Amino acid sequence: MSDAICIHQLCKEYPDFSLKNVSFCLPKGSIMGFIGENGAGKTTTIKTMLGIAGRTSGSVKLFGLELETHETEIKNRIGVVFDECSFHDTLTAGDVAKILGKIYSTWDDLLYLQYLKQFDLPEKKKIKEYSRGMKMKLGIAAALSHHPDLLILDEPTSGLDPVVREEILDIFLEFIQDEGHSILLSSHITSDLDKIADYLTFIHEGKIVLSKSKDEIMDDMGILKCSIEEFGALDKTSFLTYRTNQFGCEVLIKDKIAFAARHPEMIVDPVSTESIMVFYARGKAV
Amino acid sequence: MLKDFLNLRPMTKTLVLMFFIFGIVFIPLGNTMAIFFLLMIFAALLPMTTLSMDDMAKWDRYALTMPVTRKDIVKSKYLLMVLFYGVAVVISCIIAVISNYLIPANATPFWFILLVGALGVLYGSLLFPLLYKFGSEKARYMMFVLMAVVGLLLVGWFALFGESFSGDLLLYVLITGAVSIAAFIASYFVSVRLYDKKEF
Repeated sequence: MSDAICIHQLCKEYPDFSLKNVSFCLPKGSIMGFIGENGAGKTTTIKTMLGIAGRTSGSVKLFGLELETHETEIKNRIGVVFDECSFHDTLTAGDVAKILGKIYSTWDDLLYLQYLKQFDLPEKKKIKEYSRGMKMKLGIAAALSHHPDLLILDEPTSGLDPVVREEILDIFLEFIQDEGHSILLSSHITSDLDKIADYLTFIHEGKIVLSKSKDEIMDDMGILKCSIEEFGALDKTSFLTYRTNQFGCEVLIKDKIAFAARHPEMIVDPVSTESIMVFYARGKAV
Repeated sequence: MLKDFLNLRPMTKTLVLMFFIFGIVFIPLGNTMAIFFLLMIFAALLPMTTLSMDDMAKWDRYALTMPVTRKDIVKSKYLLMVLFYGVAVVISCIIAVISNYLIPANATPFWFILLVGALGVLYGSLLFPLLYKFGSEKARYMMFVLMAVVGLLLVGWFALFGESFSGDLLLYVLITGAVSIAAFIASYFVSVRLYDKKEF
């Protein structure tokens, strides 16, 4: 039906890094967690998706519209927050409103002031004197104040303490209450994504390794713990990746219910977002 | 764009004070020419400063997520430059009028301001594409080289036309001005193209 973001076969070549055929879709009204280790290509994907960096091939649709032909319209409807504060140090929160008010046709000054109050951000203080958490909250307030339909957040919670992170996640949950709103949230802090994401997309070395709804992932996948001899003897059709340690072998399984039916004697643990990320990044393919 | 003014606001106070002091020191000396040069250099440097501020704050990648085109971003910088040149020329004229009134013997011809202005515009036109091409850090060094180049141009200009303080002089000044403006317009299109290819 209607996807907020739909990326198809996006490629981007750099001399020392490349995105290879990145494809995923984010249905309207949901939060997608975009997960990968540092340098996996999260920020590159977001930049390429928004046309900040050129792409080699592939197509990007936001709200069902091609980015090339509807750039201004699309960009009026999105709010973006990067991992670092993008405002100049010498500005104040009030100045930010003056600048953005000129740029966005739908800028809402009252809403912005309300967010500043809600986040305890002093309007007259220079951004230079803000703490990291305050800068991040300012970025989010600015991104929300032109009534966007889609938030794109690049590691908004990294480097912040748990209290502020919790606060920020609450803001996102509030935003998503409107069914027309969606969020793409890139992060390597998996606990945050466990809390709020509906869909998870894992990226590793510039490739999407998994993109599914979180419930599906949690229901289907499992971690099998066995000895190396057992691992060798088993049928490997349901295995994705495995890791070995001094006690034996841990295997990521894609259909744990079917596997458990075939091997009722084996122990299959539930997965967590974090374990999947580590399995894809560090594990060996079967 | 408005953002640049807000950013430069803290700097303007110092600058105004500086010009005031320069004015007081130089006008009685009758050496108003130095002020005109300084003004033009500042006019070219201020937009450049805003550019390196943008770099530092990683502003550009953020600006590109907003409903503005890459062309708009370059255009705003060039408009800013035009504005600063305008202000610099106006201030120069005011200083010239004051000094001519105080010390009529040292009267600075009006064409001289125009000439310095033209060179300033030329300087900016050469500088901006370099800034976009190489980033503000590297271009900082080229800036000084360029300043020497423009200085040489000025010396050369006087060697060529300076002797003939006749009716033709005004014509030469006007030609120089026209060349600078042409360079400025060309520079804008070059910058737009360079910025189009730039990635953040």
